[in-house]
Amino acid sequence: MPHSLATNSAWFQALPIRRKLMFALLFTSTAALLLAGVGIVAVDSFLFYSSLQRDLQTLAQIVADGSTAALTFGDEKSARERLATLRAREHLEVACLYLTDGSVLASYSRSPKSGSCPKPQLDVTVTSSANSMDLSQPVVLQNKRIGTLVIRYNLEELVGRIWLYSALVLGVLLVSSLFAVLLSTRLRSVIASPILDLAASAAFVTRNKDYSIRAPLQSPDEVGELVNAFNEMLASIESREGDLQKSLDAQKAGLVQLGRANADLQRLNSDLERTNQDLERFAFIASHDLQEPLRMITSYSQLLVKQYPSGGDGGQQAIYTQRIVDGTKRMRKLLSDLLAYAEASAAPTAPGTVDLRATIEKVLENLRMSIEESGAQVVVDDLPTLTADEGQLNSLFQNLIENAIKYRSDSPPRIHISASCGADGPLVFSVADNGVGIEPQFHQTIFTVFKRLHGKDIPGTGIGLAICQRIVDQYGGRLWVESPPIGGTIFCFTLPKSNPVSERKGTT
Amino acid sequence: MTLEQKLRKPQILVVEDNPGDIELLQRALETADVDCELSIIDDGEEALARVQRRGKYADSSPPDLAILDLNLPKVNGQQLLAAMRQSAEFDAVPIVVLTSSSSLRERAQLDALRITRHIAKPADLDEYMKIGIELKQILGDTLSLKPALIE
Repeated sequence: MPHSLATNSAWFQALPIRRKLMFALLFTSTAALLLAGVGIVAVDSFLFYSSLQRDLQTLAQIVADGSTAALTFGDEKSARERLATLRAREHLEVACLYLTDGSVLASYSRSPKSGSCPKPQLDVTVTSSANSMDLSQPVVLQNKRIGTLVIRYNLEELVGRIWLYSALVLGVLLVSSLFAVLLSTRLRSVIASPILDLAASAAFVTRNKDYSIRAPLQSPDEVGELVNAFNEMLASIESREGDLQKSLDAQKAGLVQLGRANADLQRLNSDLERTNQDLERFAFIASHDLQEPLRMITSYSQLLVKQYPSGGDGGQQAIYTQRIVDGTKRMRKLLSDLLAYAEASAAPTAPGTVDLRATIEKVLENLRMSIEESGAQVVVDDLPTLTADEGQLNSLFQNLIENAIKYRSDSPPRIHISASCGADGPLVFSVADNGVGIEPQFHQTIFTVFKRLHGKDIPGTGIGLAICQRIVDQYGGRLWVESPPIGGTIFCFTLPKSNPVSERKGTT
Repeated sequence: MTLEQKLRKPQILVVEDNPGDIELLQRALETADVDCELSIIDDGEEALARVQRRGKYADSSPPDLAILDLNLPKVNGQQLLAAMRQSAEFDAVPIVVLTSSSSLRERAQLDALRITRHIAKPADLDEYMKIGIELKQILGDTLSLKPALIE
């Protein structure tokens, strides 16, 4: 039954090795002894039986030959005497001499329990039952059958022999089992104990995470190979553990360093942020609060001229007062530009979706007067829609377009606004004009606050490009200027592509 | 309503700490022929007491118009505006805010408060005088709702 076999096998697998060894030895010795014993008993029984049969046949032949006279003459006494000679055979139970008509001439019984005679057969016949063998021997005289001798032989002897042998085999089996158990105990120390030692070593390693210990090597057999392999594995793990620990330590040190650097960076960052806020606040307050006294100077200078029209020195007073007023007005313009610059540094206040085409249209509307006055032509290419603060983009484009008109050459200004939208990277915008151009040595300085390249002939404070710079900076973009060989100026700047929603057809 | 009340001049409260501006404002009102009674407070804390009718202002009545400079010592203009909006008497008073700068940020902040008019103090004298006309208009609009006060 496969099920019980599997169960047995599982049961056997679960046994400790010493038990397995004992069972293996016991099973082997028992099986060998049983086979040998059964074989010996079988062969012996067969040989014994054969020789007994031959023996009985010979005996029957002799008795039959000696009984011819008695049978011929019907001499019962002589026949009985003849049969009585069979007494010598201890296990011969019954013997009968039959006449040809089937009647018994004489019979022999070893004891009253021996029973009656078996039936005679025509030929020489041997029939065996469980505990007896019957032999039928015709008595022949001059080739004529004159009677039949029948013998029943008790096979108790054979059975006793089998029992004896079986008892012997059992005895030897017991002794050998005992021997097997003793042997397994001895073998246990030879085979099981190295394995048990190995298991103990493995358990110790698992429990203590100590990879420096080694399992003891006791024999150079398969178990020895296993121990060697285990020890090699331990050595390899130990070295790897060491490397790992080293790399972990290095990483830890790196992390500590990184943490320190991070903290430093954070501190610097917050310092910078604070400084920046302080600066913005300073610029705001300065420009805001400085407006106040200037306004007073302007208003009261004007009031002075109004109240006292001629100061007595031929209108000089009015001229001087006008200079005071002009100076303060210019100062006020500078301050309000500074304020605009400070405010341009603030974070984008309202980021939203900005349609640049609409933004440019608004800017052009703001600048309508100066565009008409100068006869400027503005060409606008396809512009994308992006996410930004509209006011800031408005201010950015207005400053650049205003500059292009302001710093024009003798010919009417032509302004070209375009955007290039590459597969990767930020959007690149350009505002190109045919104006007076900027010499390369000023390409950097023009973005500085209040830096101007022209005199009073062209109005302005020099804040526009600085504001543009700060706006582009806020979006992480870059603003630069190019001077093409054919003249004029191209202002370029990048803005992050973050959310260019769509692209629209440009207008001219 | 007594005759005395009917005949009294429009009351204008000016909260301003700059004497230069006070004189210019008075001139502007004169230029625009605004016949009124100005009460001037040059301190934020005192202005707050006036609005909340504390101390010597316990018996005061609200003005017909309030002109505020938000840049005040001690109490800032935003606090003052908030107090006015919380006061039952002052809630209906039109408020004109005069600021000295054209800061976009400040303007955005003021838009959030319910004020009648926001005027940036101009540097030019003629421009300043035009404020008088504007104030007269606001005062006229307010008083037309109370016709009994107009002679």
